[in-house]
Amino acid sequence: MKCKYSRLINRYFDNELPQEKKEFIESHIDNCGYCNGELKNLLAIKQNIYQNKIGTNDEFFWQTLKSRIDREKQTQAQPQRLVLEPSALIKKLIPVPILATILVVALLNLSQQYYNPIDEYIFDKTEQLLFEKPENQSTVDALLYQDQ
Amino acid sequence: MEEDLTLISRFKAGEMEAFEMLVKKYHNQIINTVFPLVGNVHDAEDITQEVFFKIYHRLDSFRAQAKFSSWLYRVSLNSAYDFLRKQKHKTVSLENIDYADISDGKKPENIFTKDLVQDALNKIPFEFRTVIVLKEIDGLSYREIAQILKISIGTVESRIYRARSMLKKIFVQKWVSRDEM
Repeated sequence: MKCKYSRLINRYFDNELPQEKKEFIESHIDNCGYCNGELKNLLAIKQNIYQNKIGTNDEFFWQTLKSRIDREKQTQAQPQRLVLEPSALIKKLIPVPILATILVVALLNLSQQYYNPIDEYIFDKTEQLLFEKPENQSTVDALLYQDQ
Repeated sequence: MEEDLTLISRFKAGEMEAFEMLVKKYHNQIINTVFPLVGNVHDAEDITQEVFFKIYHRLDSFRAQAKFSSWLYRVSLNSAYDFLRKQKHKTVSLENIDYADISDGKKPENIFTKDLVQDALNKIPFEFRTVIVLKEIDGLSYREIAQILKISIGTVESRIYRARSMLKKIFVQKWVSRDEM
């Protein structure tokens, strides 16, 4: 049957009990089979986890780490090569806002230069309708005037 | 052996030898803390390398508010945890273990082997594995473990107690199944 002091056995085993409780538990263990067995179990767990410790080579570990640090230092110390591809060069030399401004200006310029003969025809004819009466009407004009 | 803070100051002043001394002082402790957490020597070595590589980069910003060893342990535990998360390491949930059913009549020390111990450790959740390793391998006090994990001393005590109960339960189950074969 489990003893009510089993939890204190853990703290006793870990040397985490104040002196007076420690003395109490020591005398209790002598008279309690459960706690006596529990203490042995705790010792066995500790010994078995501890035996899993591995040995390591200090110098080998350090040399491996140092090589990694040195490699990183060398990489950082190397000057960055200028990429000569045209697209990469443009990206490096012309920042994005400038590139965007140039693009917008170019588009506006293009739209102003764009010539649409149909728009111009309709505009001219509307002007004629509003401000003057045409003398010689074409077939298209005649159709336009029929609606009025 | 020089004090950690002196070595850190010397490293900050540019002395690589001081960092070498820190590495050689602690690497054995760290690898032996990481190994039972991940369960594989090669992984433990890789993680320990990674830990000291991180420390090398962060040591400049170390302000002696906490002990260097506590900080080192914390970085190590986080690295081991990240590694296991990436590996999707499986652990049994707490609900699967019936604490009331732990046999008190058997003496599991007779059946423990290295593989069995590691297998048992792998089966308990990471937060319990961590405290038991810091206690049994590194021999740290409840207070020191609490500082490293940033939890209360009561929580440390509770986790150690439960971790041992889980381990004992696993060992006893293995012992019984071996006897039945």
